Order: sequence, then structure tokens, then C-alpha cells
Amino acid sequence: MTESDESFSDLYRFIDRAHRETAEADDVPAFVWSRVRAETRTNVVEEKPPMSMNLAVASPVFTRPQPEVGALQRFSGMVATLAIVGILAFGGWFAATNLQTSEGPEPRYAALGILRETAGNGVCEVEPLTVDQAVRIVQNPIAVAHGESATIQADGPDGMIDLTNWVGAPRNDWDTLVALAAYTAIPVTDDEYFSLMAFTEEYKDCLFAGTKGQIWAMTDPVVVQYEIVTRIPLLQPMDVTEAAIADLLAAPNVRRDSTVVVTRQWQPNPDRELMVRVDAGVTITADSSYVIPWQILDGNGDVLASYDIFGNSLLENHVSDTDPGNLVVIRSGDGKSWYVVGGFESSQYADAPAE
Amino acid sequence: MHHNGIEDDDALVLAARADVEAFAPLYHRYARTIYRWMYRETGDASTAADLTAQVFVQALQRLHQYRTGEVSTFRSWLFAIARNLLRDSWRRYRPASLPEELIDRRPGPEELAIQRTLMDDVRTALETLPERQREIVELRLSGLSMREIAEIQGTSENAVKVAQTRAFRTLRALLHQEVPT
Repeated sequence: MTESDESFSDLYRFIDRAHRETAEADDVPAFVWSRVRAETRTNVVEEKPPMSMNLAVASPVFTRPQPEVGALQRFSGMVATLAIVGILAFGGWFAATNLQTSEGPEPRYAALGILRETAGNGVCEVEPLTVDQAVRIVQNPIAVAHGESATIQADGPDGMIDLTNWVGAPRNDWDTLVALAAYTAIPVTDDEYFSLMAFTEEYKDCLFAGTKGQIWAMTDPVVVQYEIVTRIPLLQPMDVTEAAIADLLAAPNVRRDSTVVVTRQWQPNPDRELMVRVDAGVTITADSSYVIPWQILDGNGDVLASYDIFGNSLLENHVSDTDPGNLVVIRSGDGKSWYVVGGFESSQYADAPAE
Repeated sequence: MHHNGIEDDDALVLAARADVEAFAPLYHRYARTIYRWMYRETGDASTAADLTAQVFVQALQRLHQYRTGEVSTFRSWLFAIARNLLRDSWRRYRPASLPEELIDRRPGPEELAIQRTLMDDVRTALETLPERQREIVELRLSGLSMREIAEIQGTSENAVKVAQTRAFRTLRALLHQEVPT
């Protein structure tokens, strides 16, 4: 055995151990193969005018760029197609919703497996975070989550941002959903139900049409703190940090130049009995969490797949290669704002061992 | 002479051209290795899963382009896709379109205060390597032979060996407290 072989063996063993000791780094999540099959199947649609798309959604970490497709090329020759999704039975509050399709190539999104679509008029009207608000979140997400937006910490030493209240983001993982499942599901009130439906519809639009600043205005401040701190170097003068944050907030939430085109749509399940409150915090910013199951529609607005919070398919005729998943939301301490914590695959829950 | 159960890759590729489900064994054979590579590169499970999915989506979309004989193995063809995806997509666009000069990769006091894991050490050590050496290490960790790596990088086996030796020396120095000697 050569020196190089020995070095390699040592290195291989060390790195293998490192993977095994970090659970999320050890093996590929089960949903990846489902996504591969779904995308390779749906990409065949590319030659047709797309009705809409579904995409895996989660924390905005990475979007797939397609540098060979220019903006003009993307928009030329594309037929904007309106797909009537159908009536969302929001207790009579929501009438039929027109889902405007994207113009073909669209982005993918770093994924937790929830499916999304181009929805509504594709416009995100949420007020984006300002740089000052983002700085406050970085400095104290808990205070912001409790509606104490006026509180701001003094800047750190040497004019740098203060990170005394670094929290670390909750992980959007299997354990979180299992933890939620261990608690009793509590029916939501009328106010909660209608408010959450409106919020999640808006969130869905902003996923596509919004900037990071808009999405983060709807996201748990603890998660936002994590996103910013892990993307921007903070040991630098405050004005440089603020400029970097401004760039980040203005960036589109998802890139517009991917080629993934599929034909399904996505919406929160309007069955209010499936939307529940769980008195368990998945983040330290709230004591309760709300679980909102999703469903997938075809281009005609017919439900293809629908799961409840226990991960069971409600329909026999479901699409097995796509998972509607759940969205977990919390409410701000002052009760004025909803914040998305993350998305969770139903199948992850379904596969969970009995507690 | 192929090894590690890759002899039947080409037969599976042929079958997968007719039925995507036939690709499943190939996926299960290589997905974990690619995912681990993507994880070491990104340090984020969601992103690693996303990139892994994209590698296989691209592979399936281009399966008709794979020609036995043009490259030594299906495996080297597949890992070339993974390598190109990392170079053309992930490394170019991370993180969130921020200019590279704004990214301070040095650990701050807060980061240092957080308990470091072996994986942190691995990722930090790998990041110190020049890109080509890092690729060689990653592809070796993924099980590829010198010949396959040379093919992917468009260089000679000897050049790969030399670069690998340098990379291993660097890594041993950086990880010497952990890697048994």
C-alpha cells in the first residue's frame, strides 16, 4: 500500500465518520427520488404552453440558474396561460381563483418537499422588510417576533452589528414534525382559520413573485436571523453590512430562469378540520404552532392529492410522486402577524415510527 | 476492469432509456455518494438534496447522450454532471447573488463559540484546497478511479496523482489531530 493509499484510507474513514455523526449529512432524503421522477416526467411538457407548475419549496437556500436561457428568450414565444384553479372553499370567503401561469421556464427552490404553483395574479403585495427592520431582527429576533419592533440593541463593538442575541434557526426536519405530532391537535378558531388561509395564499404568491425582503417579512424572525447571518459577513463596518443586507432583501426570492415546467397547482387544504393548532413551540418565538396541510390540483382545479396532518392521502387517485406536505406557521407575540417557520413533507411524518 | 458492482450500469442505462423506473437501481447506487458530496460542498441538507435531485434529473434528461466507450464508465459520466452542476450553478450563485468579495469565510467569534463538529472540520479543510485538488479528493471519496477522474478533468492520470498527493498532504496537516496516522 502506498503512502497515498494510506492517506486516502485515513481520510475516507475520517470523513465517513463525520457524515455518520451528522445525521442530515449521512444519507440522501427519501423524497429526492420522488422529485427526480416527477421532474423528469413533467419536463416533457416543455414543448407545450404550461398551465402552471409545482415546485418543491422550503427555506430559500438555493435556486437553480439556467444561464443559457436569457430573459428575452424566456419571455419570447411563451404563452401566458390562465388556468382556472377552481373554487377554493374557504368557507365562502374565497371565490374562484384565477391562477395565471408563468411563462415557461421557472425556478426551482431549495426544497423540503412542499409543492407550489404560480397562483392568483402572481403579484406579491407584502411590504418588504427594510434594512433597519432586518438589522433589528438580526440583533434580536425574539423581540421582533413579540412585536417589540421599537427595541433595538446598541451596535456591537467597533460599529459592527450586535449578535448578542444569536439564536440559530430551528431545523425544518423530520424531528420537528414528529415533535408536533406528540401534542394534541386543537381545532382552530374562525378567526385563526380565515386569517391563516388569507396569509398562506399571500405567502404562496410571494414565493414566486416576491423578493427575499417580502418573504422574510412573512417568516419567523429567528429563521430570518439565521438566513441573514449565514449569508453575510458581519465582522465588518455597519454600513457595509447594511449595504449587503439591502442587496439581499432586494433579490428575487426565486430565480426566474429555470426550465422546470410542470402542470400541477398547489393550495392550502380548505378543509378547516385539517388545519390545527398545536401547543408546542417549534421555535422559541412562539408557544404554539399551526399546521396547514396542502393539496395538489391539476390544471382543471381538480384535486389530485391531498394529505392531512397525519400524512395520509385523502384520495385514492393521488399522485404518488408528489407530496403536498404541510406548512408550519406561528403567530407573533402581539397577535398581529403570522410567520412561516418552514415546510414539512407529509411523507416524512407518515414514515415516522409510532411514538 | 470495473469493480464495486458497476458492471451492470450500462445495462441499466439501456433499460432506463425505455422506462425511467429502471433507473432506480442506478439512483440508489450513487445518490448517497453524490448527496454527501453536495452536503460537504454546501453544508446544508436542503440545498444538498436539491442539488442531488438536479444531478439525477439532468442525467435522466441526457441519458440518450451517454455513449458507452466515450467515457470509461457511467459513473464517471454521472459524476461529471455533478461536478459541472457545482461549478456552473452552485459555486457561481451562492449565496444569494452576493459578490464573492462580500463573503467572509473566516469564522467569526460567534461561530467559533458554537461547538464545532467533525463535519465542520472536514468542510473547512476541504475549502482550503484549490478547486482542482478539491475535486480530485471529492471524486476519490466518491469511489472514482484515477482514470475516471482524469477523464472528467480532461487531464492525465499522472497529473491527477500528483495533485492528489498534494491535496492529501494538505488535508493530513489540517486534520492531523483527527486523522489517525
